Amino acid sequence: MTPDEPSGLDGNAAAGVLAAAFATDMTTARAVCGSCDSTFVLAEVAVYLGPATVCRCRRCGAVLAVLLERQGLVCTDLRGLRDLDVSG
Amino acid sequence: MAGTALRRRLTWQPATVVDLVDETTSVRSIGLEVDDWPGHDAGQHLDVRLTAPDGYQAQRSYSIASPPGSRRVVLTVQVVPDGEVSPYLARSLAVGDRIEVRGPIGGYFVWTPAMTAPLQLVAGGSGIVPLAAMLRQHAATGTRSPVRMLYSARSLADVIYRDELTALAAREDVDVRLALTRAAPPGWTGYGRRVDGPMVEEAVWPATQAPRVYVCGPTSFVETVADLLVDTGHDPGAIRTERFGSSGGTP
Repeated sequence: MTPDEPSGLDGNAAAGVLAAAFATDMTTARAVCGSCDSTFVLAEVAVYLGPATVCRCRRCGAVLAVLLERQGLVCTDLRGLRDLDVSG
Repeated sequence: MAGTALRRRLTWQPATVVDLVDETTSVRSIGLEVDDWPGHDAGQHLDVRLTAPDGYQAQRSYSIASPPGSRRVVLTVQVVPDGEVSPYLARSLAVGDRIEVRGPIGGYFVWTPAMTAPLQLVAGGSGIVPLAAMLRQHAATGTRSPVRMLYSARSLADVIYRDELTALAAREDVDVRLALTRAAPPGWTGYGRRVDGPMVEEAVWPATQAPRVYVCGPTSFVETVADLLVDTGHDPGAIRTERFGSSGGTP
């Protein structure tokens, strides 16, 4: 499951919805891809904006997280992230 | 302080358009008055939310162009063809209009004057915007850390903030170099090609100076520059990247 075309955006563009979900800045948070084991800060992930914000691993393309914001609530699916470390 | 701002609950608030400046044929700066703006750091973002009459909402994140401490929050927006938000912001918005914003946002692509390492800014196209906030704050605070900027644009007409950059480049502690990738005017003495290895060696602080490096532009530009920097010995941990572009195609 890989994106059809490369994303023009990275995790910096998802900083708002991430901050809304976690109540803190998440762009400096470190995490590990559950599919390929690469390590990164969330600012570096590939981001796709649509009805939801989709974060994919820049190396293997796996879906790391899906965030859907509606009426002040954020539905957050961190299906592909491992070892999310907010302490930066 | 941004540290305080980030711990605030992130809420949407109204902003009034107070100023519009056409920077190029496809780029416009939008000056906003935001009540109770908590302040921001150079490089941070603002989320903009637009609501259609039928209730449909679209939101996007934009880099803040104004330096910390400025009275207005200025966004500089490039029209993305077929974009959902940018054509409205850059073409249709009028002084006096109200939009919804939230911010400041982001702690990764941020520079503060407390960072005393030599500062290296590398911009591709509208990637100049957050780097301009850094350069403006650098100029305003008179920090002793020297700064170099390498800015790649298609042509001179596509150079955003051209007059201001020319003025800043006259300062002793500021070095601004332009690379024009498609068309250069007669007698052009800057670079007339895409950023490459020799250009990085010449225009960027060498790795031995341990600069703090910010790279912002389209994805391919950012990846190319980051690779060139690492190839020339720069510490990957000292390179901060931000990718600009379309909303990302099919997710």
